[in-house]
Amino acid sequence: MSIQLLVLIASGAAGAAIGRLLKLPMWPITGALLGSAAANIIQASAVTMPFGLSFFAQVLVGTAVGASVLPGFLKALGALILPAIVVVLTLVVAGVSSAIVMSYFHLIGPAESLLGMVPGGVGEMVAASSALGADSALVAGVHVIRLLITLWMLPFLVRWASRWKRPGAPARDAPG
Amino acid sequence: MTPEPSGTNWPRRRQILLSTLLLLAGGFSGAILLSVLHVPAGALIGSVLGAMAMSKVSDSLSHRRSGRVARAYLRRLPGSVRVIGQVLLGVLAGARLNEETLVTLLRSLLPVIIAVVFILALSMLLARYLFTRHGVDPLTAVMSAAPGGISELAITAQRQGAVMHVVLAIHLFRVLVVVLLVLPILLHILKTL
Repeated sequence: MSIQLLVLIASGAAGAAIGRLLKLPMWPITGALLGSAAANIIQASAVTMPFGLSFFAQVLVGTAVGASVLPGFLKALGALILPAIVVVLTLVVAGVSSAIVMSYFHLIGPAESLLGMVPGGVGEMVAASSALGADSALVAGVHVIRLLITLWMLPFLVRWASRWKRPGAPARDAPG
Repeated sequence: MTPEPSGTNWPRRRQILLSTLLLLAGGFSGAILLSVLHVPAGALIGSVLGAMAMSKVSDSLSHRRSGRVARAYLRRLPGSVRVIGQVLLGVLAGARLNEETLVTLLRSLLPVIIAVVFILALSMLLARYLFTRHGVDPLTAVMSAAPGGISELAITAQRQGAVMHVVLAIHLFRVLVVVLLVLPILLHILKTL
C-alpha cells in the first residue's frame, strides 16, 4: 500500500470524525469524501485506488444491510406489504423518471443520474457506482443534496401532516 | 475451563464477536460467489444475500443450542462495520473528486433540487395514502414515506415518537428492493446503453 493511499485513508477517517462532530448528514461518507478530496488536492498526484479496497467497502456495507434483516422483519412487513410496495415503487419510479429527464438534457451522465436519484441507501448507491466505475463522488453529492433537503423540510412536513383529520372524525377544538 | 475476566461481560462480547465473524464470512462468501459469476455489483448484492443467509443459519443453529438470549446476540453486527465501509467508500469517492465533478454537480444543482422537491411532494401524497387507507398516524406516515436515509430518519422518527417498527420495516424494504431488484435491472440497462 503506497504512502499516498495511506494519507488518503487517514484524511478520510479524520474528515469523517470532523463530519460526525459537525453532524453532517451521512457523515461517514460525506466527511470521508471531503477529507480525502482535500488530501488529494494537497498531494497533487493521482492515486490509483486498489480494486480490493472498493470490494472490501462494498462487502462491509452489504453485510450491514443483510444483517439488519432480523427474523421479525417479515412479520412486521406482513401487515404492511401492500402500502410498502406502493411507497417503494412510487419513489423508485419518481427517482428513475427524474434521472431520465436529467440524463436526457445531458445534465448528468445516465449512470450517475440513475444511481443518484434512485432512493436506495446512500452507501449502497455509492457502492454500486464504485462497482460500475461511475463517478461515485457525483452520486454521493446528489444523495447528500437529497438528504439535506429532506431533513430540512421534514419538520415542516410533519407539522403540516399533524393537522390531517380522518374523514368523519370530530374536530378537536369544536366549541362545546 | 477458561477463567472469564472479572468485571466484564465476556460471554456477551464473545457472542457479538462470533456473530460479527459469521455475518462477515457470509457477506464475503456471497460477494466472492457473485463476483466470480460476473453478476453486476456482485460484491454488494452478494454480501447482502450472504449476510441474510448466514443470519438465518446462525439463528437456527443457536435456536437448537443456546436459547433466546444468545440468539439475540447472534443476529448483531456492530454499527462500526457499516461505518468503516462507508468511510472507505467516501475515501474512494473523494479520491476521484475533480473539477469536472464539481462543475457537473453545480450545473445540475437546480434540477436536482427541483427533482427532490417533486419526490418530497410525492412522498407527502404517499403519507396521506398511508394515513387514510391504512390507518397509520400522520407522523409515522410522513417518516415512512420520506426519501431520506434510514439512520437519519430513524433518529428523527424516534425522537418525535413515530411507530418505529413501521418506519423501519418500510425503509428497510425500500433498500432491499432497490439493491436486490432495481439495481440489477438498472445495471443491465446501463450496460446496454
